[in-house]
Amino acid sequence: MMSCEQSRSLLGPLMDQELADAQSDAVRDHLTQCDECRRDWESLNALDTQLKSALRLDGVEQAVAAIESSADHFVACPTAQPRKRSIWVVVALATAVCLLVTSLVARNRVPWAVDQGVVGQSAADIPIIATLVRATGAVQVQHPGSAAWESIDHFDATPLAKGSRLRTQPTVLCELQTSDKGKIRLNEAGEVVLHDTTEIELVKGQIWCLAPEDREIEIDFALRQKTTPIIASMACPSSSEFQCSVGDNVASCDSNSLRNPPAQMTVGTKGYAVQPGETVTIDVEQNVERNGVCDSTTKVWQLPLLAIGDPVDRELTDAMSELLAPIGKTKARHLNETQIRRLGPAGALPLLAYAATETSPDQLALRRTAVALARDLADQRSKQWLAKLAVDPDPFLSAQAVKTLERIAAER
Amino acid sequence: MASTSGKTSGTSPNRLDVQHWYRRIYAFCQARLMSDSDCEDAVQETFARAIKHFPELRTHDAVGGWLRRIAHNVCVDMIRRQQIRRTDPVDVQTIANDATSDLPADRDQREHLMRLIRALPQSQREIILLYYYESMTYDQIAAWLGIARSTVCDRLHRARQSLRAELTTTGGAS
Repeated sequence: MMSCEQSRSLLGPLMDQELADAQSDAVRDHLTQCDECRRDWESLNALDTQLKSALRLDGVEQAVAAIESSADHFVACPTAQPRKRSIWVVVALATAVCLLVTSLVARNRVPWAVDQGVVGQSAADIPIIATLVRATGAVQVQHPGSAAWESIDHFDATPLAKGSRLRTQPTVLCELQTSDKGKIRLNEAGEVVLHDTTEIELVKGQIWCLAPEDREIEIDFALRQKTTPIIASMACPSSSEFQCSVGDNVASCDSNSLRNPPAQMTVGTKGYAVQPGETVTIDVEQNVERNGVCDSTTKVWQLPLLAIGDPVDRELTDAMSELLAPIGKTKARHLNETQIRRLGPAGALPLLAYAATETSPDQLALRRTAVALARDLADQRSKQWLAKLAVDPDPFLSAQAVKTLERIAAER
Repeated sequence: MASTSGKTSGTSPNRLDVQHWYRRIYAFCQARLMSDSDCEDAVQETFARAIKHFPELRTHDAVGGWLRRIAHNVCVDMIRRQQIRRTDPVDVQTIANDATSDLPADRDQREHLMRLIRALPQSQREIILLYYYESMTYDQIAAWLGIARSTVCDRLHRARQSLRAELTTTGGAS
């Protein structure tokens, strides 16, 4: 016997005559026995009737005729130009190929080893929808039409075409900027597909996005279970920031700011409201858990990414002020400190970058807290920031930095 | 399947079959542009460019994808021009909400439904338009959009769910 949930997800395909006979019999069978589903079926049919009558495209014949008659001009008056131009096209192409081969040889790469997908489809064919702006290590990219993964080590605004697939290793975070000015950050061991500037598929891991001012971003993901995956999506309204993560049997969406408008998460056939500042977690059985606090620790994973760039991102200063302020004063101390410590040596970088670059005198206490916290975490990677702090006018900061540098040197 | 990818129909060696592609290019543009007149202009411009460059195509295997790309460029140009023209940027959501707020005065059910369709996410909007304008099957839509059949099914389902919910709350359900 088919469940109501199964039946409802098949009502559309049944109406559209897209079901196999056996399946369609099973749904029809269910409909004879279930009043609620039958009402659903009737209302779906009513909507279909409305849509059929509303979505009629009138005047197609005339429009086509108009297009074709104006096009006849081109067909009827072929000019000699294309032939001439084609010679130039051939010359230009030949030059381009020579340049490409030269550049590849110069980089010790032979042309036939280059991924077909990248060369075969010229960049002009597929629109660029995002750029990789920063990352804490090498990011792997699969370009549209290619099955090969390319490793990107340099992040100076690497362009990403529509349809690119991106993944991060277990110690790498990365940030993308979409061509609509939206921001996307991908946590460690994550994978996304960039279907469009406003449509991102989260395959695994965790993603944070800041939607642009004038459009929403849709994050699509799937809750995987034994049989078919449950398709889900989170619609992040314009100017709002949201975070989604997908695990084996569970997914969660955070509305990261109290300034966010209420949003909607759709899982299978059901919709769930996500209120500002709320975290909604859902499993394959569609059990929902809601945590109502806007918690700054949900974004701690992004800190190592914020420490990259010159000058240091203002967002890092704001995040640090928010995270460190309660330390030593309230119970939040434990929570925030534990979260930052969990980042390991990578967590020392944002702490030290903040301490070394924040100059306002009223932030001194927080800078000291940051350096004290970084003391146990820092490794080789933090030496540059520690060297800067070692000459800080504040005696506490400089002493801590020197001690930490000594510890790192001793560990080598 | 073959008819949607454009491998066997919709093209002849010398001439683009506008009639064959018209509805789906219309759906493509309408899913991206707000006003019907902009959409009509975009469709016309897409075919004008396509017909002009059609003889330069060396293979006619992927005319569908090629047309989508032209339509995409035309729509982007159009949106850019509008953004320059507009002093105060208006987003899709605002237009949709404004439209529903003056509902009591608007008795035209079709108009109302069109407004709700415009308020859907673009990906869902396009599938709804393709399905009803062109009566395409799920497989044909999937081939045209280059997505999985299950995604088509899911987006169509979600679009209908949202429309039904909106029609119920705004009293437009029949």
